[in-house]
Amino acid sequence: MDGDPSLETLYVQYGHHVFRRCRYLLGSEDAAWDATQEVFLKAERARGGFEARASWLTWLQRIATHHCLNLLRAGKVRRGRGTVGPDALDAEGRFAEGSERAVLVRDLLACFDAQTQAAAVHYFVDEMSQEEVAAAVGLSVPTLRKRLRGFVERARREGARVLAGAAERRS
Amino acid sequence: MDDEIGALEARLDEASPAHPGRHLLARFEAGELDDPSALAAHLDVCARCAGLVAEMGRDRQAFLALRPPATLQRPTPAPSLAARLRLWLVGPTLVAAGLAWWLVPREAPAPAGVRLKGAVDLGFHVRSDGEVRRGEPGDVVHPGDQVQLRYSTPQHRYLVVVSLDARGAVTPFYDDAGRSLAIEPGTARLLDGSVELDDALGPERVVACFSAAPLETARVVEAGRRALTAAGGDPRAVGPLDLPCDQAGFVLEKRGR
Repeated sequence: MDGDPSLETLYVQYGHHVFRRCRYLLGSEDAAWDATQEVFLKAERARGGFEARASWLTWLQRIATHHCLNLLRAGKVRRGRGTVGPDALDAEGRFAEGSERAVLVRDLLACFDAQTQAAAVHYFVDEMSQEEVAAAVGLSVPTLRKRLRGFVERARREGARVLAGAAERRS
Repeated sequence: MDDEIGALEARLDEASPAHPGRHLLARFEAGELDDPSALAAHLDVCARCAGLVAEMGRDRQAFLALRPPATLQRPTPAPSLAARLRLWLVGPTLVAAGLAWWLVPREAPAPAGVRLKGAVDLGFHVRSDGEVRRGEPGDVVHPGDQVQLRYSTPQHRYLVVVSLDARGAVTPFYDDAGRSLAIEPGTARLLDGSVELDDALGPERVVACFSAAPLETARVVEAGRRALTAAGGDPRAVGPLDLPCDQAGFVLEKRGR
């Protein structure tokens, strides 16, 4: 890809990743589509902040994750119950976002601060390296490790209660 | 749940993972890596990772078929200095005009069912034999295929969709307990769920009625029957339904497998 791809080129190349990220976090097809549009608009406006040697995918995933977590925190979107319809992207479990691990991470997010939420999604769902996640969320690697360890410990302590509540809200 | 938390712990303690992370695979699939040779060598011998990469490619195709680049909103350019200056100059005129608007008598807001101006559109995607494709008017489809509808409207808040088939049947596709479905205005918005096509063969017209207030589905169905009769029973020849709504639609050609 050349150094300054058009918005359309970015969309063709990465739109499906952005959409799946939004749908995973927001749990609704409509909300995910609106959010995808907003993510690309934000990306276009923030293009000047993209570093030439960085990854467009990492950058867009970071914007998408941040945007959706903000929507959820602000209560502008209520997490939906999932998607229906003949959408080839819907097969549960085919993608990282459909795995049981990813669902567990998503349902636990509300217990944590914004930075830890983003770090957990990038690390446990995207399977980025700790160095990549640390750079994406603005933490040192040791601090990131501490946060992720705290995430898992809290999951161990409170996971059952949180997941039961999430399942009840979805039903 | 213990297994899943165990998996999170294992990921934390993973010193050198057996497989590259999904993010790296996605970067590879997107052609982003400066030197993809090491990862390509891994994919040659790892069916799991090769399968994930292939799936990402199929995922992109399916996504773009459902939501092509034309559906992406473009940013509105900020007004130039000259344009801002013009706005500043005409501002007082607009304020005066606004005051005048309040003072002169005007028509009441559109009552229930009244037609609103504005372009409406109805499109669709078809899932047939496990493949999803973007549909075009006149497409050949088969009984059992699933159709998901996509609408565009700048302002309407309610929608009923019916189908008129070659047997003379008018069937509601989308409504809400006998009345219009509440919708959000927007562009290329997918309706939740899908419709499985029945075994009536021949041409079938799908009509969407967009309105400012809910319509009774029975009224839409009745208007559909009248229009179908007036067209000699041929869905392809059906004109607009006699209803206070804006309409959009398409014709499908349903054939046996």
